[in-house]
Amino acid sequence: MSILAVVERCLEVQFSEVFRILKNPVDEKYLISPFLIVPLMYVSMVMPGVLNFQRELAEHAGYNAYISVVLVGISIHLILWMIYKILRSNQEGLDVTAINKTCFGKIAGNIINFAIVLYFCFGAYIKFRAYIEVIQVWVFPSVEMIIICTLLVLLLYYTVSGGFRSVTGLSFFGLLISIIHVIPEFSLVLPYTHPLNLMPLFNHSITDILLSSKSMIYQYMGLEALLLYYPFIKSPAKSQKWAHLTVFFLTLMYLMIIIITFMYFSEGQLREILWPTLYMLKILEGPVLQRVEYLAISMWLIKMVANISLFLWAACRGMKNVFQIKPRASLIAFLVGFLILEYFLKDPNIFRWIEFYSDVGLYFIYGYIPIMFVVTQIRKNWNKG
Amino acid sequence: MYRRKIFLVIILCAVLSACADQKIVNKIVLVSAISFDTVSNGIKSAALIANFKEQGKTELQVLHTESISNNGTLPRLNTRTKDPLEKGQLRMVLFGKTLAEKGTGTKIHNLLRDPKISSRLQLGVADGDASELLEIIQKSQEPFFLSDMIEQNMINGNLPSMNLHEFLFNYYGEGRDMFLPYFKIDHGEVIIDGLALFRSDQKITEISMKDAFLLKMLIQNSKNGNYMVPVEGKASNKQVEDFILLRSMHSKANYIVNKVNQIPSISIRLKLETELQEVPDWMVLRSEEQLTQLEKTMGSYFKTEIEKFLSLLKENKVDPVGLGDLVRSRSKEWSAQDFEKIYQEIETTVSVQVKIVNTGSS
Repeated sequence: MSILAVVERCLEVQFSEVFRILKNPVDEKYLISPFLIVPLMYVSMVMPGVLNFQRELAEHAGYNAYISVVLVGISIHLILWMIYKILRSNQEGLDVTAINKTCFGKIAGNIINFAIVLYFCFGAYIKFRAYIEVIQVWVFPSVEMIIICTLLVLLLYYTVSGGFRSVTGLSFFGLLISIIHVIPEFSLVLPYTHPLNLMPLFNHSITDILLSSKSMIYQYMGLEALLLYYPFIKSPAKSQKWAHLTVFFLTLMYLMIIIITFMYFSEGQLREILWPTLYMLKILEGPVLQRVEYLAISMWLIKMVANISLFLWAACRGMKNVFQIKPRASLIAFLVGFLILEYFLKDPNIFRWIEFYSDVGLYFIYGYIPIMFVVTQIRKNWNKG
Repeated sequence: MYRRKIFLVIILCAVLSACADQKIVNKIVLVSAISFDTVSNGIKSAALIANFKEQGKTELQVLHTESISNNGTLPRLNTRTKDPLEKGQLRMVLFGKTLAEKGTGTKIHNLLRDPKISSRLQLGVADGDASELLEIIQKSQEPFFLSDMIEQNMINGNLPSMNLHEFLFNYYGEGRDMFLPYFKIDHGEVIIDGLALFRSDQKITEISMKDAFLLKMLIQNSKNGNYMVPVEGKASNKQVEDFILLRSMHSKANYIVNKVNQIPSISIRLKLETELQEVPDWMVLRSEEQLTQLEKTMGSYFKTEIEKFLSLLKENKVDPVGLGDLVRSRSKEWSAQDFEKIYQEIETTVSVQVKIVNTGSS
């Protein structure tokens, strides 16, 4: 630790009694390089939703919905910029739970923190369930899902208990795998596309396009996990450009998928199909594999486990900060909860849950984050004054 | 240490769970084609199944069943086989003529819903009884005869590109109609006799292979399609009319929508590059002039044929070309119902430019 840092630490103690309690420095050996935020952000945002977001997106704005993708992409850049502002409003190295406590006091702050923990835990469950649903319909229609759930839960426990760095490692492979297969697969579909489908370029009202945008936001949810893993990034300021790059790349990827989907399916046909992305792969035929979609679903496992474990990790980290509960204990509690829900809840309608989750996420991203942004900026200026 | 144990548990679970729901190739029966026909009191369906014997050897068999309902063919057929039936390798679904005329909607919808069905599956309509076709295929001992025949004709013949995905695209898409290959039995062999044109899910009419080439030219590159153009000349006194057989090397259709409102008007410009394959013996193709003259005659012949073809489509109110979709893409507001009403009145002007790129070695 440099002398400067020591001085800074001493000054902090003098300035504020609160900071001393809150300061939760993360050991150097748990930190990750700034550019590793790319796989983390990519994996946290791309979810099973990428397999079926096209249909809902086209519900209101029809085949003009590609405009919605661009609009939401731009707004997410803004939100990301706000997140960085929030996290940097105090000294470096605090996550959102600490900021909540400084802004709203201990009790109110912890209530908000607990809500955030629940949000991440629910998010992890939703994704878990959605992936299980895909496996059930496409790969193993007759296998007891509880077996596959148990396997997944064990794998999740193994990853999350390895700590943040092992989650990052898995995310890196998740990114690699989806990049390897997404782009070639979509380019192979190109011969079957009808560009005429995209015309006319603009024949829906602004309201329709905004309504479609609402369903697109779900595809970017997960970005808020940054609020919790921010202190784990070495020299966090440097990571901002990587984060924006990831969002930009992701928007391009969604745009590519949506345009190819719209050219591949006629509008009436898209309305009939539950998982358009997987459905498109049904046309491909490999030299050994006659059907590619099974391979794609299996490869998705790595990405999905990375995604779910990042959310679980965030929830456990939140629990630790709020109630000082050991992460391992809360992790086991969450995972057992998953299994119990899976066993007792025989609700096949995952889409209603996703709708609820995406509504909550909408308020989190477009409500909570801007409010926090305003609060922290006012506080910062107040303190300066 | 305990982490290693967990890893072991995961691996063991993976190994154990792999035992669930296995499907070994000689313990299942692969269905390669299914046919549906109407009978007086319901639906008659037949399945062409392949019993896998050993590497490279399969034995084909046709199973029949009858029912009053539209669905549930496979479970009923399962009561007739030793091993379970699997539809993952299904490549061909055939409809009998009367069933196709009555409507195939439920069948098509179920094909869309089933994740096991490949998008490369082929559909077809049989002239008469579809199960008879399967009986003939059974003798050939080639399980994928029909679907291979269609694919072969797509690449080397007059059939436009088609598979389940494209059928569904046309079927569910607004402003376009579905078309399926049309099969006939000729001297005990199955032949592709043209295309069956549908309105929604009902077969309306059928066109010949010659017209199929025109349709192919209108919707895509007609590469490798064949066409016979009659020529008048010295031989007009003969009994048999003289023809030029040409093979398309490349073609492209350009659509220009001149007017959208009220009654749309569309001009279609076709460019066709051909190779002359067979010409009458008296025809001399030495000079540039003769070739240009021939190009012009063929161009005007194609023009009249395509106009005839388009008026046939309008008469039957079917739209396999997707003119409705074309108008939709150029207009701000468009509805399928309104377009259907004016479809017969839309103006289409055709111009064809033929270019002979190869005259053979004479």
